[in-house]
Amino acid sequence: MDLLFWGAIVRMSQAAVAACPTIVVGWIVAAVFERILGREGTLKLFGGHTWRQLPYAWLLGMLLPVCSLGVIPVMVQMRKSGIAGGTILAFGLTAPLFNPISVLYGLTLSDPVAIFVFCMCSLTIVTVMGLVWDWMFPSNWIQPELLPKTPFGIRRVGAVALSVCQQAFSTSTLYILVALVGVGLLSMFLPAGFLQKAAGKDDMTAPLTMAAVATLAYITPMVAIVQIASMFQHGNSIGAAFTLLVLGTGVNLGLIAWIFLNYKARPAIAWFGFLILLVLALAYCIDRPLRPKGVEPADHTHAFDVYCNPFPSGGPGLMESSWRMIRDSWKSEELIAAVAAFFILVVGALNHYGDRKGRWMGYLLGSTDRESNELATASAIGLRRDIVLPKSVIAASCFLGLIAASVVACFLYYPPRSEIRKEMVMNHVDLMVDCAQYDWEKIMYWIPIQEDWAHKMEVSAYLRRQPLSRFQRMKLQVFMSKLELLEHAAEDHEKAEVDFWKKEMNRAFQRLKNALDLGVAPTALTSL
Amino acid sequence: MMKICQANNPFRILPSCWILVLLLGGILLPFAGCRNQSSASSQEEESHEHFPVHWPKTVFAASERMSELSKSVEATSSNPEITVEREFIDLIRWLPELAADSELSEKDFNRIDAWSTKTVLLLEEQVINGKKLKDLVELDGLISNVEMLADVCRLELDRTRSPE
Repeated sequence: MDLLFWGAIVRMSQAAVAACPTIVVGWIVAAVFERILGREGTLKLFGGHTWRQLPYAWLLGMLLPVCSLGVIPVMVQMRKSGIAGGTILAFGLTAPLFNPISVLYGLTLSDPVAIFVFCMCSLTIVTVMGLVWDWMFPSNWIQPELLPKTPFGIRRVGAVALSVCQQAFSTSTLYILVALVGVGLLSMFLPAGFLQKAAGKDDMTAPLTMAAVATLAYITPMVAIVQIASMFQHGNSIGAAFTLLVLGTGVNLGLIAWIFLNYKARPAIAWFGFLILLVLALAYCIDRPLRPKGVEPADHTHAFDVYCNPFPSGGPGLMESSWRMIRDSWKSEELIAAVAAFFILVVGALNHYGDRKGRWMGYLLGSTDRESNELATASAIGLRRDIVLPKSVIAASCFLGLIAASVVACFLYYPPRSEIRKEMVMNHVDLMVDCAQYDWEKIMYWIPIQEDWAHKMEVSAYLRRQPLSRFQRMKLQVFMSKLELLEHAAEDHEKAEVDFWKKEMNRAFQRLKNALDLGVAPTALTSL
Repeated sequence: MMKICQANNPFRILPSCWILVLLLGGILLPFAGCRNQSSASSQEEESHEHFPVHWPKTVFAASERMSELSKSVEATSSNPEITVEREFIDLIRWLPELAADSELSEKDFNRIDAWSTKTVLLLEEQVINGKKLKDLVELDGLISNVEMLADVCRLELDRTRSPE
């Protein structure tokens, strides 16, 4: 029982921390919809009730960096704005599936044709699901509620900030919690390592198994794309990879609960059933044509271990191990987002319980008379540049800003090759020391980090238009395969094997550095 | 027209949610309780898990085996699960990876890589048409390229063995 409990706690905590950055983004987007665009503006942004609504849902969904948890507050706002159910669901499925960073990552990790086909199939599903929903349940939108007009200037900024806190402390967070409970349930159902042989190339049930698992799982877009690339590289079932992308990234228990509650059980069951059928049909169709040629299928994979219980067996010290596992999985950006999310939630709770009459927001929204007086005063004292921006300008700025931010984020996330080299050298030293000391936990901590940097090396080169040569790519591939074999040896706590693969990996790393022509400075590496 | 107040009470999620959880649970329950029993103990077993039996370990071993197969076309496959023709093609296909896992220069790697990429496609086509190993080695330029590879490997081995 302890095993199940602590396993679920670990998986739920890991998912919660990983989701924090995109959840915060989801709250901000929802607040912008509510307080800047307003109900009418949001409806207009998504093309109103015209044919444009689905393509707009795609486009905006692809640009917004939210996951299947962060999309929930946005969907709540969309529904309140009177947007059709099909468009909301299309947006809800598209937004977590793709964002510029993850697509870029995917393009460099897997066969670009496969990623393109995956994108097209996903968009087909989203469109068909949106159209079917609106056809089955016409006029499924609600009348938008009337919101007081948001004033201009600093009070608008304040109103948006307060709205972010209100979004955080609202029912949408309960749906997020339901989704996390789904992650915990999944880890209770699946014992450690249970999915290691679940996605074999010739296993006809692989997409079915993945559909059952992925629906409850929570996967960030980046993790999904890395897992899919790994499935391609290991010759796993392509149908299962596609199912994982659509259902794992796009759907979770909280999202399903939201659909059930907002559109009633019958339409929700029909929609969800049809979604699974469509995903499975496409998964089986693309399975054979997209199979990578010349890839030796691995007999097992660790890609899906994150959905299973982390502990193979119970025993004392589970609590300490759980805490260590949670702490080790934190990344700095996730931790910063988690602190921000906590702060936002606290302010949201204070606002909810301390201001039941809504006086804080009322003050920020203010009266239009006072606003015109302030503007008149500002003009009078010469602040003529403090102009009132029309909503269209703000919307266009947000849109262009989002694109610019995506581009900048891509360059920040994938630093230049020299930076990656520094990180890899430092990680390599730590990894070699931990291997020499047979510190299994630390070895298992450093290997995924090193793998991540190796992936980033390739994407960074692609992004900066200095693609790696075939020679360099093969050296990188060899290094990563040695790293993986070292990981397998460390998992089994086999000292002789770790010694062997450590040497192999070290040699492959030196060759990689030479191939990259990085001008290796004398380091401790040579002595390791 | 649906009412907006539906979204206000989170506890109204529960009945519908339970149905869904039970449905999903029904699908997942058969998996629960099963344990992964397999564990490789020896390094040999572990290696076989990750590499096919006919994986040659180094580019030099691959070159040696290819020379062997091209000279004795009646040879049998070192992996009982596959034909000797398949083994021959696999060896050529793995050459770029094996070459990258050695100290061979970029120039040598590029030669091997280009030859491998071109030849694998050609050989695959031949095997589909029912050609045997003796037909494959008669293909234009194949033997000379196998010899070229052997020369490259020999030079590399000499270079690594000789004292600096």
